[in-house]
Amino acid sequence: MSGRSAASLGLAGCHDCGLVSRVTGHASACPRCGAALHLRKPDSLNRAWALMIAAYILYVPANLLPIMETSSLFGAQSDTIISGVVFLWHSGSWDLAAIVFVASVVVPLSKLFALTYLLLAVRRRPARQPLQKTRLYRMVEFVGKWSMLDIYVVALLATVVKFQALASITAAPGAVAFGAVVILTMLAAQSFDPRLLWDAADAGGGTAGATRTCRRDAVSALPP
Amino acid sequence: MLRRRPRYGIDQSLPLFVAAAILLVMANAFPIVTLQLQGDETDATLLRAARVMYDEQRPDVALLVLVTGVLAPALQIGAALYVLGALRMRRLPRGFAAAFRLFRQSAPWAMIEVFALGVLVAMVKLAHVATIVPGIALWSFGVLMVVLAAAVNAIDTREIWARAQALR
Repeated sequence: MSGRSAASLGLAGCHDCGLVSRVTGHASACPRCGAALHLRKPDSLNRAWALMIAAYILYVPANLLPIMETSSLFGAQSDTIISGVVFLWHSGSWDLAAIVFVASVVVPLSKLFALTYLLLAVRRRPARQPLQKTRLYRMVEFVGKWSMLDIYVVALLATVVKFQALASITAAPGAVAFGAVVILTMLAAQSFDPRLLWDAADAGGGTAGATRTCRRDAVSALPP
Repeated sequence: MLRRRPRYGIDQSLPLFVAAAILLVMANAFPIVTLQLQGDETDATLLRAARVMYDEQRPDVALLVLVTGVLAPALQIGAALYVLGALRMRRLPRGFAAAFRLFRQSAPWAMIEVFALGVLVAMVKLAHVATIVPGIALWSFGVLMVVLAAAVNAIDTREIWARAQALR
């Protein structure tokens, strides 16, 4: 927990090959693999905020617009993400309904909130509990791609259900917005640098900041 | 976890990536599912799904499916084969570092496992509407999912760069 950050010593780890080397000047390259070296991801917070705001805006049409349209002998029907989950639930496959609900509703929403929380947490100095926040970041990164589930389902259904007059399924505009939300939040998570959490924790007195954080945690853990 | 050294290094990761490459080709060459409805028959492959999306004026969805389902896994596997194959033959070809970077950066966008789950959900949705015949590609995707995860896990960055530096 204690110790100085590599950045404060002018050292940077290569994102690609992992070699740690000294950063000199502005445009440094890894001496082993030639990748660009940064002490911290460049412009991390600005990029992450911009992508997050775009994701929030697109989240609205992603949920309000239909993602899929079905036309059959019995008439036309359009499905949003939620109505797709409801359909699965009513057709008796509650297990799949739960999976789709988690992938399409719980994951995107908690990802948006978790990243926003992390972006706000970095501004607090000294920041508290950097370890828990780093774990939260890891979870956000791991879980990101699973929201693509509904896009694949729609694309597959639209490909396979093509029976002229009998029944046919097409993708609707909501699918585009939803896919964009998934991509934007993944990009936001990638541009966020979790080391900023530790910088914020150390701010205001080097390692003393980290110690103070720990002590405060210990106090808050005591029963009132 | 900072580090866990895979036991067999490139002797394990290389054959796993070769297997993954074969499975990826199979998964895209054969139909995933065939649907039968009153004598009519349709089937789906990933490429055809992208094609249908494109034809239906949804080029963005087509691109999404194409990149995450086919392109990113293909780049990931291809780049890994290039890097590991070069080390196996004790050569350090041009673009070695670039290929390694490509391998690393295509990883988050390769979504084979998500697609496999998507196939499952789509099949359940259709189960009471029409007759569904699972295709060869469905099994290929299932196996590919496991093999690719094992292959990526078997990659040891330090070993690769230690070998590369020894060849320089």
